[in-house]
Amino acid sequence: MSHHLFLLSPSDTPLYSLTHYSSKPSQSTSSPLASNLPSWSTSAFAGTLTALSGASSASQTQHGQGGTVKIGGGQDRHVIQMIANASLDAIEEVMRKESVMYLKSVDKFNEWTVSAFVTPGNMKFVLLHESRNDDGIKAFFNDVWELYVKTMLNPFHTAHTPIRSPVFDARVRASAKKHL
Amino acid sequence: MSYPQPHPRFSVLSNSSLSSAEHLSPASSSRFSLPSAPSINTATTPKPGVRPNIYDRPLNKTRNAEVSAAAFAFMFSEIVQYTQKRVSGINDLERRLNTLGYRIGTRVLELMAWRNESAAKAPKRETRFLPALMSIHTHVWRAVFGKPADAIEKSVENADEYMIIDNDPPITRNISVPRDMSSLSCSSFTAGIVEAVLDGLGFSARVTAHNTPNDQYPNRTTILIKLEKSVLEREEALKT
Amino acid sequence: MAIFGLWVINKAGGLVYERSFGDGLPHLTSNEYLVLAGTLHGIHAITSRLSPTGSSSGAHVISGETFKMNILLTATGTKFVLLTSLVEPTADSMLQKVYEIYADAVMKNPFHTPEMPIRSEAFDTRITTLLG
Repeated sequence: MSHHLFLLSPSDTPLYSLTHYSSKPSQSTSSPLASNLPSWSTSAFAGTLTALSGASSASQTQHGQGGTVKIGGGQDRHVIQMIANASLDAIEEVMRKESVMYLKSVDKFNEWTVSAFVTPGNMKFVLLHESRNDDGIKAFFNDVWELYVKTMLNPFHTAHTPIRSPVFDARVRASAKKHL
Repeated sequence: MSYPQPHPRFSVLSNSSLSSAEHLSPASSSRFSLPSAPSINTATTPKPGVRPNIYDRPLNKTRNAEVSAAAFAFMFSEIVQYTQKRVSGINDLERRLNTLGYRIGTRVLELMAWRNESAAKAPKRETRFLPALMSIHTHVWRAVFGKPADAIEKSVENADEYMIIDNDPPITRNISVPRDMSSLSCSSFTAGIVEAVLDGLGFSARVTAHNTPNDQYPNRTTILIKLEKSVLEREEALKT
Repeated sequence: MAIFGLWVINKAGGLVYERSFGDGLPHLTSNEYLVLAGTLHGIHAITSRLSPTGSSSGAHVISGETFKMNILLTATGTKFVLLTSLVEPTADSMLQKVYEIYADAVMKNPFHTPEMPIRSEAFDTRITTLLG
């Protein structure tokens, strides 16, 4: 079972991304959420995407450290990015009205659920996940937020530029390990 | 201000007069921070010479820390002088100060929101303009200057203009602008901070600073916010 | 019991600020003031070397029959001179306050060039409030 995190600037430029393979027991195959999902993607556009994900993952070497990786399950990097980007529309729609920062399950695509966190400065943290884990995700987002604020306070960091700090990376990974 | 070694020029300062030099020191002035004020650079690790990583420092540690007003005044003075050497006119100078403030504003917004909201069960952002403006007036001002601003006004003539008024902005308290530059307001720096906060929250605006002295407050300054059309339209749409 | 005038002399002996209060002082031309300040600077330097017991900070008070000059020398060499009547017990504390105003309104002002004449409105206003 994997998680994909993207940090996007207000202009939707990706500043940081992380793929996390959870060591927690996978239950995605039996998850009622996941089994419901395919029926959701009925639009013609989604159909094309599913085809795309299937086609590209056929030639892809499987990775994963414990979680099961499903064939044709949209594990391809490009598809993941596309899902994350596609969910931005949904996020922007919701964040206009909702004042909460944590937007849980704003979008769904096949087996992926997209949760997001919008900071006051309009930075978007987007997380693709397969199973429901609201509390863990919320705690994870809170950690990332704190780390992001600390990054902002670094005088040598320019706002809205890619985050390259190895310490930031290590902290986010540690938090992902703990909560996801 | 007791100098460990008197400058050679001031060999006139004998030991006996050094004791009197002590009370010459303006340290008794309330404008100078007391040495007991916590320094913002206090290291978390006791080891000398090892500076803690920024990710190791708790964000709330400096929440109530004070910065010496004098130290800031000298630094801001240098910032203005530095900027002034590199610009061609008053407008250019104000624009540069605005840019500097903008960089601070983006950080202030995130830090302030984190301090206010991170403990909350469901952290919230401001999505409506008026509450956001109120929050700038009180929270941002308190975070940056240690006191709320003095007033918010809405322009009578233009629906897209709002004003935040500070009767005595701390950052320009010691600045006397020469007569030939009388239109300059060094609070452009503050305007930049406000612009960044509004931008971050999604209310794009053009923010400028203007001197609006009155008899009681010679340093009274107005921060003028001119909102973009899209913001007004969105507010209108959200009203229903 | 009166304060007649205030001079600020930079470390090179140049007069950077001059104010007269009330009608106590006869009017002098600016050139005469400059000469006076330069002379005082020289005299002060000499007095600091007259001390019989080691070095000295130089003259603190120079008094005449009808008035006295109170001199405050700062650690950076700037001199504040206050012209007062012979009996003026507040002279020393006034000089301290002038020094404080100078530190605030002059040294923290980005539009002031060190060692140059003081043209700060805030300094003028605050000195007027204090002494005028």
